[in-house]
Amino acid sequence: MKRINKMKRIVISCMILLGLSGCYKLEQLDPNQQTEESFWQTEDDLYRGVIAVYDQLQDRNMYSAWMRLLPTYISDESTNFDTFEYGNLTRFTSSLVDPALDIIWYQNYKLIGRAYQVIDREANIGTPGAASIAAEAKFLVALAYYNLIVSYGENIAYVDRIQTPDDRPRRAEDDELWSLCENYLLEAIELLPTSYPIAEYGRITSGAAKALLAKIHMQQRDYVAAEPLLREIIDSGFYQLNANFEDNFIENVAENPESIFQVNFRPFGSPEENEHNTAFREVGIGENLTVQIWGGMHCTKLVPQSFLDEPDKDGNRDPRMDATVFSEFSDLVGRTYYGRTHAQWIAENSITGDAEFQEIEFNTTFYKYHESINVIQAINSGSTQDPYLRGGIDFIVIRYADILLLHAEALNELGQTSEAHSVVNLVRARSNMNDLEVTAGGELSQADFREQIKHERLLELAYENVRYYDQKRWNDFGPQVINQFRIPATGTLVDRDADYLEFDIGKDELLAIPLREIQLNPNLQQNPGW
Amino acid sequence: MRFIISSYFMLLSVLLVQAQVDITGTIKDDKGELLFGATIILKGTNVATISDIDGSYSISLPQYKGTLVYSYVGYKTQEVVITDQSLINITLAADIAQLDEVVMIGYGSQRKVDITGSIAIVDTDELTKSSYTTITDRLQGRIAGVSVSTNGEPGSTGTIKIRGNSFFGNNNPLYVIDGILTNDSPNLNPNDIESIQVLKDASSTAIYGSRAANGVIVITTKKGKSGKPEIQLSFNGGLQQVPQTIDVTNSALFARINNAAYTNDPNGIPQTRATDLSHGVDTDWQDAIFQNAMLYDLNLGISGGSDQLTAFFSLNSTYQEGTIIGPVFERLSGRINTEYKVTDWLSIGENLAVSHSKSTGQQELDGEGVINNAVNMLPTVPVFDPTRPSGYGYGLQGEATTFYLNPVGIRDLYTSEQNTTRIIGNVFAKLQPIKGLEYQVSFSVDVSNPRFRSFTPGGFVVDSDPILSGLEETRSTLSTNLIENRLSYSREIDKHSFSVMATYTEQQIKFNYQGTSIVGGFDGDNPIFQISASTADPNNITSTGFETTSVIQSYLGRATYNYDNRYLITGNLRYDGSSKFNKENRWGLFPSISGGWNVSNESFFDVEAISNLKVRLGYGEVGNASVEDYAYQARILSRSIGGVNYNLGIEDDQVLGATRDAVVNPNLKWEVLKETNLGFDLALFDGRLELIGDIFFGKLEDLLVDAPLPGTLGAASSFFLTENESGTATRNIANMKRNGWEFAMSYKNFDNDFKYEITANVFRNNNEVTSLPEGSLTGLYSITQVGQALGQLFLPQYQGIYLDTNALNDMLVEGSTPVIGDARYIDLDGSGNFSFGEDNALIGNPNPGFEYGLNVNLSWKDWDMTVFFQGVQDRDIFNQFRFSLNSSAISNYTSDFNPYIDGVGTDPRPISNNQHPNNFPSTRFIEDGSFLRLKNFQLGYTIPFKGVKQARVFIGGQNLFTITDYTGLDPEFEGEVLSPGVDFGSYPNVRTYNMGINITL
Repeated sequence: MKRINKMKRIVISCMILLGLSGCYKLEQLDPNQQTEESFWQTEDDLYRGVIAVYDQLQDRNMYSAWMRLLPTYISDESTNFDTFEYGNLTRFTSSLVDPALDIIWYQNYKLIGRAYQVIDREANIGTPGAASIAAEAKFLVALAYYNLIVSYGENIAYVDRIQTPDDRPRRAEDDELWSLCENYLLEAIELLPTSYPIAEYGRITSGAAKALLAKIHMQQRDYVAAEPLLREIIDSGFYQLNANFEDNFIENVAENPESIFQVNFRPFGSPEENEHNTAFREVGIGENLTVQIWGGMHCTKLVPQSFLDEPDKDGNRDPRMDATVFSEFSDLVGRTYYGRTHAQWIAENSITGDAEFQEIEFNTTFYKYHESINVIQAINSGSTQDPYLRGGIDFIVIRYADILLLHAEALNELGQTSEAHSVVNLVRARSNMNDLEVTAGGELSQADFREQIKHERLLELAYENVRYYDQKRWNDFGPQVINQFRIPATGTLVDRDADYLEFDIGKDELLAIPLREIQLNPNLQQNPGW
Repeated sequence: MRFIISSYFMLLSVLLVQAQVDITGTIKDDKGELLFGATIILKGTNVATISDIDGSYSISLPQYKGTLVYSYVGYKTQEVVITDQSLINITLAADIAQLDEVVMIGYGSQRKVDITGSIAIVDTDELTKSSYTTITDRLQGRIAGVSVSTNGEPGSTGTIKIRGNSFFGNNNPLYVIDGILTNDSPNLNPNDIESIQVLKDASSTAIYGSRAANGVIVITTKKGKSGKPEIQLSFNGGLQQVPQTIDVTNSALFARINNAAYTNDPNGIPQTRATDLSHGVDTDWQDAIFQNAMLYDLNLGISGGSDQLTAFFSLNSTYQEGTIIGPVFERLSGRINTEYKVTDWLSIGENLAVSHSKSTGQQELDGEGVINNAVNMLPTVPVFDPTRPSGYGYGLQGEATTFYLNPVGIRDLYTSEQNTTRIIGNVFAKLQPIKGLEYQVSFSVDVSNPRFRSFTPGGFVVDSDPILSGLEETRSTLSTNLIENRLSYSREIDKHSFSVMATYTEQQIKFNYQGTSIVGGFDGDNPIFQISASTADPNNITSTGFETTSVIQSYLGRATYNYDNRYLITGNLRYDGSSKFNKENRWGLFPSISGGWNVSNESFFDVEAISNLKVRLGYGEVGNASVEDYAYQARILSRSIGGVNYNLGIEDDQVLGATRDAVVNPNLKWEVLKETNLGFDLALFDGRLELIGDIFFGKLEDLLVDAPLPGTLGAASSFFLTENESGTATRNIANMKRNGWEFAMSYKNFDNDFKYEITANVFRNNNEVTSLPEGSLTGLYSITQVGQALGQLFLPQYQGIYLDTNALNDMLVEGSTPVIGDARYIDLDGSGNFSFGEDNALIGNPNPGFEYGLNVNLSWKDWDMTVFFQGVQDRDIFNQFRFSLNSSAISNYTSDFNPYIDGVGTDPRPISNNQHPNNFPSTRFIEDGSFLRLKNFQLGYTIPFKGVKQARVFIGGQNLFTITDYTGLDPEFEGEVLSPGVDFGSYPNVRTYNMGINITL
């Protein structure tokens, strides 16, 4: 009996132990990631924050692909024969449910959202370094609003802080967002350095902030405000034209003196599709089996015809043409596109040999930013084709040649047409083109120069995501685009873009705000006509 | 904890002083058969024994006092008050309705007759007559209110839904296996299962609180029985095949339609194509991948023990091949359950199962199902084509344009294997310090370690888009620890009997994962598929790893009161705290109350035919939470792989970035079901006929919805042209209601040599969204909106084709004037222009009208037979196969497709542009998904062997025939929550012919 008693004590004591032990804790913090409470303490945290803002620039929906392709589709530089995806956007036949209308909105607000995580936390850290980092983020907010305003107009959602799931931002008044951008950029000009150590090449400088501010003034046709800024950038001597035009569109091995702000890409990256650190490249065979780049993009006739209008000083084709487009002329200079000549492309892809498909508008596509190291390596090694071949060519968002041409445009608008000629000639001279006065047989009038600059910007900047913005600035975005364009210097008439046939005045000037955005945010109003 | 500790001290004060008296006797049934294994227990104590093979028993008691309770499964329990007898012979009467059967109700048990909620008891004997390798599949059609979707993929567990879909996230029931709680379909040996109870209504499930809103399935494994050891051996082997294929066109018919499709496309490139596209090839792709497949199951079980120690042991080996080339599932498992009665107040024991399973040749490669490719692939492409790289045939642009992959090529080039070791078990101790009071403590673990490996040398199975060589290897561990302390007390005072139970339990679930994925580097000259041998670019080697922990702490209790077996009341209360929610929302209280009235026990009740009539009414509130661990925590995304990083410097060096990871809703809380259940149990003619009926009305509140966020929040997806590309956040914003009825009956007649038992059930579930503040939710071809059930089909209404020239100008179709042979749709909004989306109608209800099961058991002398039918009635299905086949020029066509070509045909004229209205999804592809299926058949013969308790051989089969109008592969499939009526073409259920033998020694 005693034994039982003792045993009972032992057994029960053990069970109390077992019953009490364990006691797993209810407070469980994610061991895999830091939380917002523990992060955002130091300047280094803030630096990581701004790097994430830059990262959004590399997204495939941003400068890796769609942020520059979609505006190009809509512009008169390009058309798209696909019957689905982006075809409606190109032809102004989108309905409200067309998802292509949404990309620029969502992705630029994403850029803004990441930027405010930095901007709103700068004060907690309070160092001069933190202020400079926040200024980079402010530049990127301005860039995003620049993209948004041009596409959707000024009366869009006014976001100026970190958003929570319940926030429904108000609708911006006219000029409100432009002033926000201008104030941010003025701050950035003050706070940002003119350059960075070589290991940080690619960060935003005060020169970049000046250039974006100038572009924003230009977009509002405020030539008075823009001109001195543009002159300041030029006079700083900080930037210069590359001797070779094409050096802007190849894999960089050194700093590019012509690049004012660029998105850096790497030549090689993870095969994961959401790893956006390479520029998106894909050769594609579209529905119509013609030479085109991803998404079925072709040049309009405007592009090859404009290039063929005027020979260079030696009577040859404008050397920028073969660097800009892949056409039947490319074979003459030994250019290939993914290792294949133009003739091979036509032979392989135009099965019918139908005469229609021999026409230049069907067999010419953009070539800038094209052949990158890994593509060439892939071809040389004879490896199987990779459908997602990506490139490391940095995409230049603001190029010095753009600034020069904008300066010429501003000067002309301010009545300084003669000086404007000399600025344009700097850009022409780099590509072995005669001075404008030589070609035109004298200085152009202010009105003719205004038209000529459209032609000059096309030859220099085609496929660099500026044409759409230019057309809007020039009020040259409407049904008139189907008419032929007269190049003042030569008097030649060139075709433009038949896609504008369907342009609805009073509606297609702006894209529709995404339908779901209107549904979720009662403060917003749909753009007119949609 | 304090009450537990004090109970220990109470324990210490009790000592039992014992003298010994012995009582012996024999136990027979009412036909004079001696009963082996009947239980004799001194009421209110642990003093018990079991009758021997000759029906005799002997029990030692402390004194001549108390009541002996004699019970045996299938017989009515008898009680004998002890005065001074030393010999008690007992005759037990058969209890056809088995009202005294003990039912596991969660943290305890109840007699069937005392149950007040809606709890279904599964006939586990019947389940053993099936050759499905998983227990979930075997439950199909057996229980009113429980829908099971199975598929034929080897080793896959079916999906169980109790009372239908109620949530946008998790709709899986909670499984409780020997007290261990899990949401995964249990992959355990069906032969080990002693009993299965399904708790359906909220008043029953509330004892499981926050995880019980989808119902609870309580599984108890077999325990050893004292007495002579019993050895069971069984073998079951068979052949499986796909019962149905999709009838598609041969090369000649295909070429006729396909050529017309290209000719009809005004924007298309007229292609120079031969009338005979086939070059003599006519491939039957489904024939190329479907095969007859073997399966077998070998099982050994040993049960036995003494008065003090009992043990159950089992070993099981299962092997199942796929009915498509490739997949094989193998499982080896063992179990030992023991219990040792140390003293009359203490017993200890364990339940332990170990298993190893291996699945090879998974069906999917990057989401490209082998079956999907086989159905759609063109007949003009040969399986093997030596002129192609890799040697597999595939479509070529302009000749046989298709982007479908060669399914045989996928199968050959892609190797995968998953090995999983799982240990699930617990140790427990039960103490009975004083009469009526029991304390039970248990510690449980459930650990599984899957290791997955796949690799491919790469190669071409489609034009221009090769499978890249590569390797993927992942390992993970999922482990659950559970501690449970339970105190229960029961007492009878005259006509009052009551019981209380209080439990404290804690569960911790830990998961960790690590994986490496390599793309490239295993091309032809590198045959060593190991990470160590990779020659891939370092950028193409990615590895990930993470771990998560979640904890639930619970206080729960139950009280029952029974007055004179007439009035029954049960109350449950559970208070759950979860680490998944923030402090403010962490704890939830889940109460329930239910009552029963045993009308037949009333003195005024005097209906000869009715042996039992009980009405039940219950109300309960239970929870659900389909949220990820840490979902409420605002986390920072910052990492080198897959991070928000940027490249600076001319060398493009990677710089680490950081930003908030997803958008977090810190206010997440439980989803709640509040349900009322009304039911009755009726037994007639001495229990021969039993009827059980239930109706229920439930409200679902604070449902979690992945609600879209405005793009201005900055949470847009990196993927373009996707649903919800503006980002989503999970929020408790929706409400629904649900209701339904369930009816089950059985009729048994065991009186003669010819014995039979018929059981049947039929049920219906309805749900309706009552609030969805952020607007309707869309699934593929489906819409979920306020006032409607989940996932109604939402499509244009197809009206045949235009054959009359005069009708062409009636209206526009997508802005254009149709031509003869084009599809005609209803212009619902009367705008004069049919437009997809604007003119879509709510046109198909994927929610079944009712579901049913019917089982018939017959036996005559040594012969027995089982026939089991299962069916679903009034369900609309969108046949995705038919749509993808007959709306596209890059896939084959169904052989009954009769498009308008050269002036004849009844289906829309073919056109290669897949955006053309003729190729729209519409009511044209909605079919009646009703079916009746012979789910199981078995014919057995018991061989009268001497010295062997039982030796039975049988032949049988599963899914032997299906009566349905549905033309897809299988009308039974598991749809998505938001598109439950869309048949994506999952692995079809297989037809099995099997035979086997059961031996009991």
